[in-house]
Amino acid sequence: MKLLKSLNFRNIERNTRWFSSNVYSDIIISSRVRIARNIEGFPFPLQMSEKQAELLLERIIDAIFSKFKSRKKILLYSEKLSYIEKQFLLERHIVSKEFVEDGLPKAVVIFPEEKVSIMINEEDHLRIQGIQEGLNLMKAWKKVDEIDSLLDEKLKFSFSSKFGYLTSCPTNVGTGLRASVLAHIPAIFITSKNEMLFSALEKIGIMIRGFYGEGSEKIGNILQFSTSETLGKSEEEIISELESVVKLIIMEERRERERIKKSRKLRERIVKEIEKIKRIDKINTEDSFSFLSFLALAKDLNIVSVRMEKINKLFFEVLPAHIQLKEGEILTEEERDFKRCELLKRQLGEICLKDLQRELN
Amino acid sequence: MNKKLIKQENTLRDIDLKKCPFCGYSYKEFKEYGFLGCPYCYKYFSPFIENYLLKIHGRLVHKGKYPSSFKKVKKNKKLMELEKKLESAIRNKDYRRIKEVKSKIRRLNETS
Repeated sequence: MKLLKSLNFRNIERNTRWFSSNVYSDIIISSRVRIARNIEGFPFPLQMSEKQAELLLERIIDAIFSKFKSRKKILLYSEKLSYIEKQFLLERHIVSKEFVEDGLPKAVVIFPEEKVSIMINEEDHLRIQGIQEGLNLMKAWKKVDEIDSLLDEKLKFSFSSKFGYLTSCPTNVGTGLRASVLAHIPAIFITSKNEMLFSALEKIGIMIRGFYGEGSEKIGNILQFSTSETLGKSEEEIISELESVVKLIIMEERRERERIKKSRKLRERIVKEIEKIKRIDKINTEDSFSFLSFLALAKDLNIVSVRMEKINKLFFEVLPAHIQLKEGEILTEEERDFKRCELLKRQLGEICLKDLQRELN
Repeated sequence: MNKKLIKQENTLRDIDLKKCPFCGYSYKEFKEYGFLGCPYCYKYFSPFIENYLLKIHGRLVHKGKYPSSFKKVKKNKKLMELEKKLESAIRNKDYRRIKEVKSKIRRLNETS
């Protein structure tokens, strides 16, 4: 069965690449900042009728299109998207889990050049989020801030001088801002430094979540670290606090990588883990994450030569909806596992395996 | 004693039954789901949710960005204050103060 006929998703894929060899991208895959906004005169989505939701959706889309006439943007209505298309947006962190679920009419507007997307009628009327590659929280915030200020001229946001921006969930009230990074920290896990580090982070209010954020499991050695407080601190304070925490995590990960470098046993284990790909012809998402994780480590330890950008890009390309998008058809789980294995071998096989031979000899 | 307990329980139930006049969301629902129904809920339930906000954020008063409409309100307030100060300075013939307040007003007007 063919899919994705109406929308050019390949175009979205090309336009929303935020992984590159940049600031700390050997450890931090991406930085994200989102703010929640609601429109005066309407109840929050949870209490909204379908009719109100439709009305508001159109009003917000009008505001966005009249305010950003000349900017490149993509508008997608959730009800017009297929399951796989929604999953693709979710895998790419362009939309949230709530967005993918059934319910009120929703839409997302993507600004590819700014790397900003606006979800409408999710938990709040508007969720404006910016994603940047590597550790780049302030840049992500600046882009979101700019779009928010321009929309503010068209829409009246609910605001109280005491509580700040009013949000559906009181955990977001105030700035409505949450900042997070997606970090790839294999060495911390290999040397079992994770528990101590994580309990220290949780004590200072840092939330630790899986690849897909709230309520998701850890896949591979990738975790999301995010802020939790939104009231009583300015946007810049929240962001710079997270930034210093992230720098500590980077330091810790680098130190553990140094330790691995010295241990011949650990180096051998890394080589063995990567070599496994030679003997298999199918692989699931989780195992491919762990493969890529070892590969990134190997690259960092100079065992293989491959660009970090390529590895960070593959972390997304191995995901189920990404694989199906690339093939242009719906695949069974087993078919996906074959395609995924093919993809990894094709992308990395030759260079890596040659390098590995040298390492083992 | 027993009567007192019953009375307490009744007030608690009364709070639970309180409904936001704008959207009809009840305090009981907030306790159950952790969400509020509309912006007005914050005002209406404010005595009950302040403790909760303090617990999760450690603070109670917003710091950070304002919508542009609020910036104007803030600016006008400040302008009025300064004009009052100017008036009293003129009344007192405090020329140094007049100059000082005037330059403050000019600066405020320059920033939009």
